Amino acid sequence: MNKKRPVTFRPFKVPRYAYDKLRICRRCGRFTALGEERCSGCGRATLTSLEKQATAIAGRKMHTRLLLIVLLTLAAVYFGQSLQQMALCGAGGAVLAGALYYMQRKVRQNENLFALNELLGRNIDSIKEGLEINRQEAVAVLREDDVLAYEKLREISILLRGDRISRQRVALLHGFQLRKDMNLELEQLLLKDFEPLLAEYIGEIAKIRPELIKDRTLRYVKNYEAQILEMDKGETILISVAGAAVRLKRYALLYSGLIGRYIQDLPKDRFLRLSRLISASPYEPWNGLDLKVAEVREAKYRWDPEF
Amino acid sequence: MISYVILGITFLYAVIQISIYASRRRKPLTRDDIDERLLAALNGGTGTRE
Repeated sequence: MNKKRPVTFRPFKVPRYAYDKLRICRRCGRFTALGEERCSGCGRATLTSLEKQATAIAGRKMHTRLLLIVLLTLAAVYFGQSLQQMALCGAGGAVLAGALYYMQRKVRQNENLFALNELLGRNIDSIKEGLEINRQEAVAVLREDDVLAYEKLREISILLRGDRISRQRVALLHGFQLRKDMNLELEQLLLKDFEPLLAEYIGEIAKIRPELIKDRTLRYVKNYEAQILEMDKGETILISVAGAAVRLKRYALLYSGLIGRYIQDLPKDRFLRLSRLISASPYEPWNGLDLKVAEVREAKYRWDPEF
Repeated sequence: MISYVILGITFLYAVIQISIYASRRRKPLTRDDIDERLLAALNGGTGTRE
């Protein structure tokens, strides 16, 4: 019986930089990667992006430095013993303040990045702590709303890329009915060791979104081929993956061994694709795959006009 | 005399600040560097997945 539930995920866009996902509470300094409006620590709506915070810090530092020059200049003028001395100190201070202000304007963008780097470096432990709290929040809602839990884990995984989060996400995805129109990912979910749920997920992705089957996934499948074969529908998974691999000539060449082992059972369209790839480049090192294709074509599709 | 001393200190302070800005400008940070460092720090040395 199929226990998978049809679900809909909220739209999700991967930010260009991972730190774009982080926000900091201006009040209590807690970090979060989730999209909540209020800080989970102090409950106030004072969450701001790290870039904004870094820009504010850099701006404050620059203003302080400029202000110090102005104050020192004023002190120099105050202690002047003659009008000439006072004018000289005032003019000198103004030139120095002007020079610093000019330089600050020129380096503003760069200083913002230095401030951001410093903010992240100084608070790395707080960031880790904030992300762990986020992860616990995701786990806490798991029983009531597994879709929400998945969405939260998906956001955290932009920053935390360990196997622990990936394993939890794969386990959650196992309960959902996957569709072509869903915002799915695969490479980010690959684990270091073998996981049957992940192998099942790869098999499903190979059927509905073969374009997501790339080098790292094919390497994973190749490495754990024996374990996948021991699974209930292991062979079906491997056939789907082999079918997805013939999408590109590069994959067909690199994983010719894997494809060759399941060539007998490839669906007709995938076999036709492979056959055309080989016919278009007969002198490539196909590692015996061309011969296997010829055999299968002879045995199964001898009278098929498409071949 | 005191005013010239203060002006001297101001001059030194401004020169130091300007040279710090100039040296940082020569070795600018990129967003990619920052991102990579953050991911490496959060994920135990591996910024990006293999």
